[in-house]
Amino acid sequence: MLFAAKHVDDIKLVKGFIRHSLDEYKHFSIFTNIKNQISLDHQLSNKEIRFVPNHLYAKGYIYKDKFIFEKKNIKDFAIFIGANEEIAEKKLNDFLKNIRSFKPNHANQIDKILLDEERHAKYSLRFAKKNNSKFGYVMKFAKENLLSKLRHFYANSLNKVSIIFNPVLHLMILIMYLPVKFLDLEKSNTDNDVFKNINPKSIL
Amino acid sequence: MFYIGISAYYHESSIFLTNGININCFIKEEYFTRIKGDKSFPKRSLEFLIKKYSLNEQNIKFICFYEKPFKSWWEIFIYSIKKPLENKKFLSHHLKNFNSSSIFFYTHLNKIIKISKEKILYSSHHLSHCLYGSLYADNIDDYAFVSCDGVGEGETMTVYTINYDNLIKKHWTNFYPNSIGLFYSAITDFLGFDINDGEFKVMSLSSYGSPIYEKEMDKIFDCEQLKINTSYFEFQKNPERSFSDILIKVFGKPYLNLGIKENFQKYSNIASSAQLLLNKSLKNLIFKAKKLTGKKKIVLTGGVALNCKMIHDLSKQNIFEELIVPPSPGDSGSAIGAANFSYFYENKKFLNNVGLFPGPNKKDLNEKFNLNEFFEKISDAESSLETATNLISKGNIITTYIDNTETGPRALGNTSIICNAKDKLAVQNLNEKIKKREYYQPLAPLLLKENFEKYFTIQNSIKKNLFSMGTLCEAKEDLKINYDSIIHIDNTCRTQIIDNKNSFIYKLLRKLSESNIDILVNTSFNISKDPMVFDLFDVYTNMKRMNVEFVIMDKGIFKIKEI
Repeated sequence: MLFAAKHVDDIKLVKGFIRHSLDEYKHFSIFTNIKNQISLDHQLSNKEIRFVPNHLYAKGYIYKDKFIFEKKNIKDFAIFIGANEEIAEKKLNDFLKNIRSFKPNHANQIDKILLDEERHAKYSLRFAKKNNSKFGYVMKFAKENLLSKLRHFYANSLNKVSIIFNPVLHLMILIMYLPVKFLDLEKSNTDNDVFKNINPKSIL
Repeated sequence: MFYIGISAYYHESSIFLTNGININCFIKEEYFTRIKGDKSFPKRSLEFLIKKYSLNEQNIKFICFYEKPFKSWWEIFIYSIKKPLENKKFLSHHLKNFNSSSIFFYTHLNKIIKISKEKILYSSHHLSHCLYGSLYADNIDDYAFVSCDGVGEGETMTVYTINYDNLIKKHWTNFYPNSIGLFYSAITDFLGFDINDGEFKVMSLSSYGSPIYEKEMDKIFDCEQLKINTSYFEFQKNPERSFSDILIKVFGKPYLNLGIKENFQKYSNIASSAQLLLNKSLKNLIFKAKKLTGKKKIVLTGGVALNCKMIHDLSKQNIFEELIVPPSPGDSGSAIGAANFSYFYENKKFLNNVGLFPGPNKKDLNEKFNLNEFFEKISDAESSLETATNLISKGNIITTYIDNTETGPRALGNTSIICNAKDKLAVQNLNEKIKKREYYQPLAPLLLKENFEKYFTIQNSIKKNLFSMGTLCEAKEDLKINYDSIIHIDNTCRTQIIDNKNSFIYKLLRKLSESNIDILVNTSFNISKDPMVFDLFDVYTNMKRMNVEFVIMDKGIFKIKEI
């Protein structure tokens, strides 16, 4: 969102994106506080319960080398945000059902996030409806929903894929073991003229 | 013609561009992506430089990568494959990441700018550290250049010298896995902090403990021979955990919650013992460097040099005449070393010192930003000093966003959050509520060079590092009377001094001294776990998140608006 704010000209949009990014930072802070509280309650360290956003990149949930706003034009971006905010809202509602009875304080915090998510979805989809044809909007919205489900499926299946893939890698490692053993690069722990002896064009 | 150095793929990616005369520009990729320690190819930084300096094949002399990409990947691989079954987890991870490794540097570069292979150079990892460090030595022939980090191209420690004829000699190297850097990172991991981020927390924590595990540590790393006992570690086996079950047998359960008193004391003792081992190892490394080179002055680079407590402890042992740590001694600063390598390759002479602020000027970053929509001007540039003095005297915490950006991980006043160091409430608020740091991490004082001796003591041999917060120093009684909130539990402070009479912070400190405030607290302008602010969008969002109202800019002092 912050990236999007830096790349649009309309000041209303700039402010909207900044407000949205501030909400997302707030949500992160709420989740972090909940996490810290759980850590303390159960005498766990922060390392035992953690959010690892980088996993999301690795799993392709969001693009690996680009921000979403770089990949999509603003009309499609609005649909992406709207559709995904709605999905987040549904997931948070399910989560709330599970924790409200035994963690009421945490549930109240998440209620605040839900209100924000609802508002974000509403604004994004209103913008998308205004700037897309009716047919285009319906199709793109359905596409984003489907893609989101596929991304979750992909992320959840990665462990299963590695069950098949890892033995193949291990076999490759064993095959490489013997020839590679003889391929040690030349090593010297002294050099009387570093610049004379280094090859600046070589990656070795 | 431009010379460009790039450091990427392992730690925070960065680029340095210079024409060797009057243009220097250093940028980190994390400034653009807002991912702290972003190690990906610095695509956005390069695009920024291409636009700003109209870079093309014709005006670029060389682009130099800071290390040998294949060697770097291979040396780790060849070590682990000697025990393929034991290390299969690590090897699988290493192979899976092959296509995102630095071996594809040229391919990644070519996606951003078309440039012939003839213009691409590859320095060597520790040589880049050394060539960066050399920029901060007055007479290079007087110094031994010691580099010490986790690992780079299979090497973990090196000793170089450069003589007046610019002959660079490598006197000694230690090889992977004998790494004091990896040892310290594994302890960081064990204590529950993130590697490459939590090491400074271990350093702060160590002051609360006693080195009661010294004997155990001595078995883990032989500080005389500088050799590691790999049975205590898994960094060569397991990409998810750096320490082994044997280490757990020695120190007990890892990842304990530090909020519990007993855990805190135990972990402080482990941190203190690890810190002692680090000090002893570096002492021996420096002895070795002195013996091999005959030099009494040292320039220390590599990530280990960021441990300012170690620098201070070493200075008390009088083992060197001078020790210099440049402002960004880790891999990020090596982009500057790589540019220096390419400059030397062409001109047979080295670059000049790039100073403390080689980053871009703030005015070049905010052409699109509509200042009036987000900030209200409360004073113009002429009356900024008066207004800032009033705000600080009244207990306000204010941010600075002025002039050029810093190189290193430490903000040196241009991109900082500051407050009156006498004001205990403001200092506590800044540390815990605004920066969200742990209570055991102290904040750093900032004062005029001429006032330093009134409040602090330090060995002359490391005094130069005070300009870049590269060392600790000890608090005198005068400091304890009025400024005790900035003193760490071991009576030390990570002090920064300033003597540049043209800088705003210098003038501000002069003005504040009229109100009997000699010391400011200075911390980087970011929230813990975020990179430092880069443009005004970041400034606005960070100020909102921190609930800070005022920012000093080159154009005056501004108050944040609601949007």
